[in-house]
Amino acid sequence: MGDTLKLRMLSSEQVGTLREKCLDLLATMGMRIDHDGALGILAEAGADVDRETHVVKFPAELVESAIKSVPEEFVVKGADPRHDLAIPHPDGLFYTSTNVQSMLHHDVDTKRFEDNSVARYAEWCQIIEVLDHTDICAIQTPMDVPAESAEVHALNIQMQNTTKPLWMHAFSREAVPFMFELLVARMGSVEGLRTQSVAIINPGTVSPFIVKAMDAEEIIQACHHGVPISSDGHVMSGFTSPMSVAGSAVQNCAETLAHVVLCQVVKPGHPIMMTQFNCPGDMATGFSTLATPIANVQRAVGQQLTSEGFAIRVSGCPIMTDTYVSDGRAVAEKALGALLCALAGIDIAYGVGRLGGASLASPAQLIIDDQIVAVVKEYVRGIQVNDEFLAIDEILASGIGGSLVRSKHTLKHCRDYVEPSLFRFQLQQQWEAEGEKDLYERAVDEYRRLKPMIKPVDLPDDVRREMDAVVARADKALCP
Amino acid sequence: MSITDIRQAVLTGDAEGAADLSRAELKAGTAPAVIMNDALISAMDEAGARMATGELFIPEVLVASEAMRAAMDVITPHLEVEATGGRGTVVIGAVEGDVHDIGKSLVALMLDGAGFTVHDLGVDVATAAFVAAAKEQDADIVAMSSLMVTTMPKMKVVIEALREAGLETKPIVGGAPITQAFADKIRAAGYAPDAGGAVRLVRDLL
Repeated sequence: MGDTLKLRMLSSEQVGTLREKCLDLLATMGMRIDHDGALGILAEAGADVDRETHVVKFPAELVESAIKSVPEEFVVKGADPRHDLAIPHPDGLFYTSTNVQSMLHHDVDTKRFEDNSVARYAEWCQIIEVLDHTDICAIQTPMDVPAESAEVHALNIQMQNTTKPLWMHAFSREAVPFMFELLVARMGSVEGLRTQSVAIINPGTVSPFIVKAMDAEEIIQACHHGVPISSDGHVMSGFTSPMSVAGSAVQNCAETLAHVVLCQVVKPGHPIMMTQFNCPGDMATGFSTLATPIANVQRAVGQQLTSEGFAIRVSGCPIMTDTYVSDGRAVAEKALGALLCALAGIDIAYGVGRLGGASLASPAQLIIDDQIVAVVKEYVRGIQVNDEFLAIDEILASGIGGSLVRSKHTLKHCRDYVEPSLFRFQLQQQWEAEGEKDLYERAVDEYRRLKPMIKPVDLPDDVRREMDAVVARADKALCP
Repeated sequence: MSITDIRQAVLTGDAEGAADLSRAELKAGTAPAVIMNDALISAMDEAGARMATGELFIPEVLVASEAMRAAMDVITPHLEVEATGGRGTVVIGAVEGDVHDIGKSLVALMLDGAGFTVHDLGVDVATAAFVAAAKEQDADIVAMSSLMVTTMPKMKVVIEALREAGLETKPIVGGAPITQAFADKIRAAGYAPDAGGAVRLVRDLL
């Protein structure tokens, strides 16, 4: 992104004010952290820990020290190094992730939401493998495996069907060790995993100001295994955080900063990002909204606070919609959210493939969103101003009333921007001849075109066996 | 002053007004059960109906329920003992392993505001605790919430435990990943997608 192309929602003074309030909240109110080991670690590091209530108050100097040790650059890695993601993006753009948890997928044939399954999720991961602008494959919930170990099964499916980096998180503390065991099985050893970390893990907070044992465990294990972290705050304005943008942004950052401190105390210099997963509450139903303007404004403000106030890399969830169909509303909400947050500066944008509700997913929407991202990237790429791109010589050579269509400059740059297939320019007659299809129908055509071409990852048999054995152990330990 | 005025005070969230008007109405000889049913519960039913259409928002309904409670505090000492049970008793909690509180608490508040007697067990509630509370409170309804795939199976465990204990309490379920299909599968008495729906469901079941 160009140096001049940046949306700043806050003035520098406001960033300073919000920053100060984050630290105040952590120092005076603190977080409840329901993990004995984490409490001990933080107490030893100088936090004020109440072992009875599990409330941890973080002195400013401890927080500042942690912030200073967070790396400003790192790499989120996939099983295949070709898919490694250098953070920040070397061209000033951003990366993307699909959505977590989905228990239901929209089926292009039945046109209904059907249970996610091993087969359906495997196909999903395989599609992600071949998309150009979807960089990270997030964990979902196959419904034909035991619920108690679903996330372990899901991680196994991910690794057997894509070599792109994985966005992972557990659904219970007991599953966490098995998930890391699975990553180790994939990469051959703990050292192998530390070298090529395969995933980025996503612990969250329970707003307001609670860290569950599971999430603290994820942070500790991620530090040990060399897996980067993207820490989620889950504020829901009007319900678990203030209605106001500034208040919610401060609270979200304060909560995720607590994760940052724990992470840096466990392992100074470990890569960690802060995620803006603000979802304002709908005042009529009490549910989280995903794609309202205010949600994205909160996220953009939080992004700026994170990057300018704390110099920490940032992820967010702008590629979202509150509708249940792949329609114009979905495109509008996702494009507007992605554009706003891209302009505000985001490293990883989450939500590719997601519809509204309790994390519905759609393969057609996955394909649409991948291309929406391509379009948004063009808006924020920035322009170059130099002799080549000013092309004054070309202008002069063409002269008054001339044409540049046959110039060398046009030939050289005619493919600098090629519209993605779903957004390709067409004459009306061409569109009519091709069946007058709308965006969704063309996305379904693209899905059907890709389907015969996608395939699982070709893993060595012994690796696959070891991974399956980890899942079997998880089933035995976690399921009644 | 009148029943209508008390009703309006509740609907507008005027706790002091609702209490004062109720006090005056009692002094004027109106039966407390009439005030409870015709003014207070009726007002909350209307608030719930207006919330379902989006005309009222949750904070407005909650402040109405606080006004209702202020008026109830005035009339309760004058009610016949059998009338003080309200419209029914509900035990509510998030199932074992689930610490998500906000949706469950909202349902509890709304049920309380609608005139039900609510015992909120909190979060991470063990199966045995649900059963014990249902017995102790003679609960008409056990309401369970789950926001995670891994804790959803606990709902079925609680339902079976209630049945084994021979209790006639009706189990209902809710939470973001819960669906009607899931509720049917685990033989819950009902499912509600949101807090307003939970109040309507409980009202219908009782």
